[in-house]
Amino acid sequence: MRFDIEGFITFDTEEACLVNLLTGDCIELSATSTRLLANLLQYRGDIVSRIEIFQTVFEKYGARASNSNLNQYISTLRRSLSDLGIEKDVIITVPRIGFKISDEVIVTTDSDYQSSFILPAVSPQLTRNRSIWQNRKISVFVLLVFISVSLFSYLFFYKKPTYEQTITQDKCSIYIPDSMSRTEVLSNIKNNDLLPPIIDCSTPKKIYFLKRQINSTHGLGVYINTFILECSFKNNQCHSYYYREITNV
Amino acid sequence: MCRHLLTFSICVLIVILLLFFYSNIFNQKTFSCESKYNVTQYMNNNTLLSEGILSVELAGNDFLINFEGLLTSNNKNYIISRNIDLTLKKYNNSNYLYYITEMKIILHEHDNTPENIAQQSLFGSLNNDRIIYINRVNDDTILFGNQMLSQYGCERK
Repeated sequence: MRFDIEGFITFDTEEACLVNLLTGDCIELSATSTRLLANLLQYRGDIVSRIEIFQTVFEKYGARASNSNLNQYISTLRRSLSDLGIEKDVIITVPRIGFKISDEVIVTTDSDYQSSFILPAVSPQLTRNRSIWQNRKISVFVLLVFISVSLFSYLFFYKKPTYEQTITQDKCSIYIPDSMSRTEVLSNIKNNDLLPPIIDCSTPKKIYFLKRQINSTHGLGVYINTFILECSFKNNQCHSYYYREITNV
Repeated sequence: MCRHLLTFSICVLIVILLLFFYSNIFNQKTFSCESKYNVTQYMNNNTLLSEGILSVELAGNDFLINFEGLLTSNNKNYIISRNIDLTLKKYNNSNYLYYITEMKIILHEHDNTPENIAQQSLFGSLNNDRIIYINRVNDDTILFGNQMLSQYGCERK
C-alpha cells in the first residue's frame, strides 16, 4: 500500500521507505517503523491507542513492546519526516492514550483515488510524474540558460582569425590570410620570391605571410608590401621581415 | 528548500561562467613578447634599411613598443633606441584597427634618428593618421603596423 503525505512525500509499505518526490531523497525505515507508520496512517483521523499499537505492531511480530520502545520509534519517524521537508507535526501525541495523524496533514492512498469518481486522473503515480516533469522543466531551463550564456559569450568574444589558411612546406607551417591564394604563396616559395629569400624549413617553424602587390598594367610603377613573421620552435625565437617598395619615378 | 537550492546552483553556475570569461578576457589583454626585425623600404629614390630587436607590452588599452637597432637611410647611419607608449581606443568597432589617443616617445641616450626618418617605419612622432593595426592572431602571437597591414610581429616567450 502507498500513502502520499502532503503531496510530495510517498510512503510505500512494501518498499519500507519514505521518498521526497521533489528532491528524490529517500529514507529507509525499519520493519517496525514501517508497520507503526502504516498503522497510524491507515487509521488517520482516529486516535490509535498505545495498547493497540503494542499488539498490532510489536507483539504480533514477536517484537518487545514497551512505552520507551514505542516513543523511540515515534521519535525516529518524526525526525525522518522532518528531514524530508515536512514542517508540520505529522504524528500527534495524545497524552495517556496514544497517537494520531494530525488533521492538518493531507494524506491520500491508492484506494482514495481508485474509489473517487471526481478525480480519476489524479493518481499518486501522476503526482510523482508531475513532480518529475517539473524537475525536468527546471533542468531544461537551467540547461538553456547555460547554453545561452555560453553562446552569447562565444559570439561576443570570438574573433574570426585573419590567418585562416595553413600551408605545410617541409617542417614549416605557413599561415596566410583568406585574401591570399594558396597557389600565389606556393609560387612565391617556389620562385624564392620571399623575404628572407630562403626560408629554412628543415627545422619546425611557424610562418605568417602576407603580401600585397599591385601589378600595374599601364607601367605606373611598382607597389609591393611583404610581411613575414618567422618563428622557430627550436629556439623559441621570432624574426619579422617587412619589405616595402613603391617606385613610380 | 529544493527551490532555494536550485536558485543557488544557478547563481553559482553564472558566477563561475562570468569569472571564467573575465579571466579569459583579462589574460588575452595582457601580453608581452620580443622579436628580431628587418625593415627594407624603397620609396622612389629613398632607401631605408633597419634591423634590431623589438619588444611589446600590451595591457588593456596601453601598448608599449621598444625598438633597439640600427637604421640606414640614404647611406646615412643612425641608431634607434626608443620606447613608444601608445594609448589606444578601438576604431569604429574594428577588430584590428585602433585609434591612438595618446602617444609618448621616450628617446634613449644614443637614439639619433631624425623624426622624419623614424616616421617612415612607425617609430616617429609625426604621425598624422594615428591609426594602428594590431592583430592578435592567436594567444601567443601579435602582428602590428601602421599601414593597415602587419609590419612587425612577435611571439610570447
